Amino acid sequence: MTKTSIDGFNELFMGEIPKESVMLVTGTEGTLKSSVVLNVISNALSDNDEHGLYVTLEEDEDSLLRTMKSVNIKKPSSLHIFDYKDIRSEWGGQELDMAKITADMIDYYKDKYGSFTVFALDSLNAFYSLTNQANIRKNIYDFFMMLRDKKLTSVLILESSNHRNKLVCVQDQMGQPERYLADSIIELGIVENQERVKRYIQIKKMRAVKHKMEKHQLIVGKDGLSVLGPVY
Amino acid sequence: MAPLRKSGMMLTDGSNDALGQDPQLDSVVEKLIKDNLDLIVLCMLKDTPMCGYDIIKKIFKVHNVFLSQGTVYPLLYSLKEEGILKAEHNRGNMRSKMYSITDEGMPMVDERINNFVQAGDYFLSQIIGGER
Repeated sequence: MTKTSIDGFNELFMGEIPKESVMLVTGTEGTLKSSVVLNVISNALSDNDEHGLYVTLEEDEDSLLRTMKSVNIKKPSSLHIFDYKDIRSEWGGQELDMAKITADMIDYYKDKYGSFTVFALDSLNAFYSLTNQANIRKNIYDFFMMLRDKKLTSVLILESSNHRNKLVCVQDQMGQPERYLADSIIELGIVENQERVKRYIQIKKMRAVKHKMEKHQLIVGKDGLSVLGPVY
Repeated sequence: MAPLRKSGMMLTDGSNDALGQDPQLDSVVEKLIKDNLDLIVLCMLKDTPMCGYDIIKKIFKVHNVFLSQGTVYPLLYSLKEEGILKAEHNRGNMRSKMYSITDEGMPMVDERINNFVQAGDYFLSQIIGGER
C-alpha cells in the first residue's frame, strides 16, 4: 500500500502497510479513529491514479470533510465518500443485507473506476447492528473474505468502550472474530496519569511486517497528526 | 414504506406479459437493465423526481428486477457529483431525498437517450433486418 503521512507513525513499522490486507482501527470515542483512517487512505490515493471509498454509517459527508480539514488532510478527488444515511432512512424498518449491499457498492465503484483498490468502513459496530444477528460470526468471516477476494486494501473502524480502564469490545460475547481475521490492528486510546491525559497509537498486530509494540503519543498539531515517543 | 418482496408473481404493468414467466427473457432483461442503469434512471427522473427507494420499487414493478441498494444509491451519488442530478428533501417527508435532473444536465441526458435509441435501432435493424 503505502506509508502514511502521519509524522512519526512510519517509524513504528518497517516497510509499508501491506496491500490487499484488512486493517482494524479500534478505539474509544475521541481517539481520532476517523482522522487516522482518513489520513491513511488519503495518503494511499494521493500519489497514484487509484480510487478508494470511505463508507460511513453514522456520520455524514460534511462532518467527515470538516474532520479532514481539522487535521489538515487534503481529500484526493479519487477518494469517494458514501453515506449510508439515505439507505437507512428510506429503507428503515426493513431488514437490510448489509454485506451484500456493501459488496454491490464496491462492484459499482470497481466497474466505474477500474483501479479501485482502497476501502474503509466507519464503523463495523454500526454495520453489525444492521446485520442479521443469526450466524453473525459466519457473516463477519464472509465479509472479510469478500474484501480480500476483491483485492482491496481495507481499513475497518471498530469502536470500543472504555470500561474500568480496560478496553471492552461490544463483540466480546462472541470472541471478537474480527481481531483474529484482521491482518493488522491499530489501537487508539487515551491514557491518564495524575493530571496528564494523552492520546496514544499502538500497533497491536501487523502480519508480515516488523513493528514496535509500545503505545506512542498521538497529537494533533498545526500540520495535522503526529506520533511522538512512547507514552510511558 | 411498504416492504418490497421479490416473489414469483408477475409484477409488470402489463407492457410485457412475458416478464416474470420466462426465466431466460427475465435474465436478458435484467442484464440489459444493469448494463444501462444510468440511462434507465435518467429516463425515469426526466418525468418526475424520485428517491432511491422509489426507483428500485418502480424497476421491480415494471421489469420484475430487484436492484440492490448498493448499486442504485452510488449511481445517484455519482450522477449528483457530476452535476447531472440534484437532490432535495421532500417537504413533509425529510426521510426521502428526491432526485431530479438539473437544468444543466437535461441537454446531456437528452443526448444520451437519443444516442442510445439510435444505437438500439441500428442494432435491431442489423439483427432482424426488414422485419422491423
